[in-house]
Amino acid sequence: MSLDEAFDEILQAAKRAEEWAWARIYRDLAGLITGYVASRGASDPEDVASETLLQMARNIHSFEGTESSFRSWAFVIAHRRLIDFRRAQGRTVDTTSLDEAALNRAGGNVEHQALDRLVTEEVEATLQTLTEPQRDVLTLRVIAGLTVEETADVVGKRVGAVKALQRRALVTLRKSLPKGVPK
Amino acid sequence: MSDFDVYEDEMFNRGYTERDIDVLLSGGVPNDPGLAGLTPVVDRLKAHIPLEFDSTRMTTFTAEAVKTVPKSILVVPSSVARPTGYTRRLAFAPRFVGALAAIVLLVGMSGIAVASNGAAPGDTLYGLDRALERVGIGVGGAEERLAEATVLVSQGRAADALDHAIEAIDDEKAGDALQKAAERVGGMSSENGKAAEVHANVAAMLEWMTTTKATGSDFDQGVAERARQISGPNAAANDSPTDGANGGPPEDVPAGPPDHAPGGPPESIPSRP
Repeated sequence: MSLDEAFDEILQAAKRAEEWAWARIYRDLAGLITGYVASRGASDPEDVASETLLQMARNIHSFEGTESSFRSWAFVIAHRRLIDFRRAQGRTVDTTSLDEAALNRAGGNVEHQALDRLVTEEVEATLQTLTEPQRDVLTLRVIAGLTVEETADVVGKRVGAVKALQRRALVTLRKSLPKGVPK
Repeated sequence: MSDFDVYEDEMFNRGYTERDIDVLLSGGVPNDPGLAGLTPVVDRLKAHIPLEFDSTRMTTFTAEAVKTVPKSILVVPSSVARPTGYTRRLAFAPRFVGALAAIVLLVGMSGIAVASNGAAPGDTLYGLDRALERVGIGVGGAEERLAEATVLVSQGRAADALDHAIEAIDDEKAGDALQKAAERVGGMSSENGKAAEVHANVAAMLEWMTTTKATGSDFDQGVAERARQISGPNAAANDSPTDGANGGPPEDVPAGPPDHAPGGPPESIPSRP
């Protein structure tokens, strides 16, 4: 759900601490932030998303800009929290657990669910072959829906470097993906 | 030349277009069948986004958010009645408070900036160093990234140094060459006799990047050539050292200088458009 044309109005209302504005911001961003940090191994993704948005609330008066830069700002904060989380965990490779809810969304019979689980496991194993920077870029582009330029802002790299990272990630995935994974 | 090398050359030379990549990453089905085969991966990533909306959590958040938003003394609701003399005090208070806050911030941050500048990846203050760069404090930029990469090589972390050096360039092919080199170096055994030679090549490349007077495409080409040498004899022998010799960049990648500055909005002081 994009804030679109109402963004300016929502931003001003958020600065006035109006509850409806923060509800709109939560609806727009919380799911995406949750998905992003969950895919990168955060242990409590919903909590990270709430903390990210609360930090934006603390600093809302210093923000002026477009919806695009607002979205980038949210993911800069979320990305920094992920880095802090990784440092605290003392690890450089994330271990994303299977999303049981995603498996259950398939519905249908047991055989269908078993096949979905197999596909998910294979795809998950393939994603683990990416480096952290590659996976950061890919998840920001896919889950957060950021453009190349917005992604560059979040990860603090140049646009050309982001393009190189996403191409390299796609090449690696093409090589690693098992044959027969249905489209 | 392995099948994988051929595929990589095709990715740049036949042209997986930027448009097709954008379609794939946004959840659509790209025209190119090679990219279309990756749609299960994109679907798997998108599955992390919660489908159901937790209204209880939202209610809790919004209640907390409205308490968290600072009460700006410049924004006074019209419904609030002001006692006599309040307006007069309010007239100069914002300027005084704002100036005082700026002075405190600058004094505090200058000390912090001195302490954190020069921190390398992995150091305690490194994250703060990067954050300060984003608000314009500290050198930052390609120069500092190369200096940090040099520190990493001296610590024996050549693969990390190559990943770090990617931030100093903007050319996609040069970036790809650095990534390939990083993957090769990262996969090398420390007992491999060639490891020392490779590390020396990485250090030499970084020194060249730091000291060269080459700019623009000459710089990017120099980086790509040196990175290919690090990637190994096969990659160096089969890849053309000259950009464009194999057909040129993908159609949607514009030539010329980048149109987007590095860095981005910091956590607490976002940039203006």
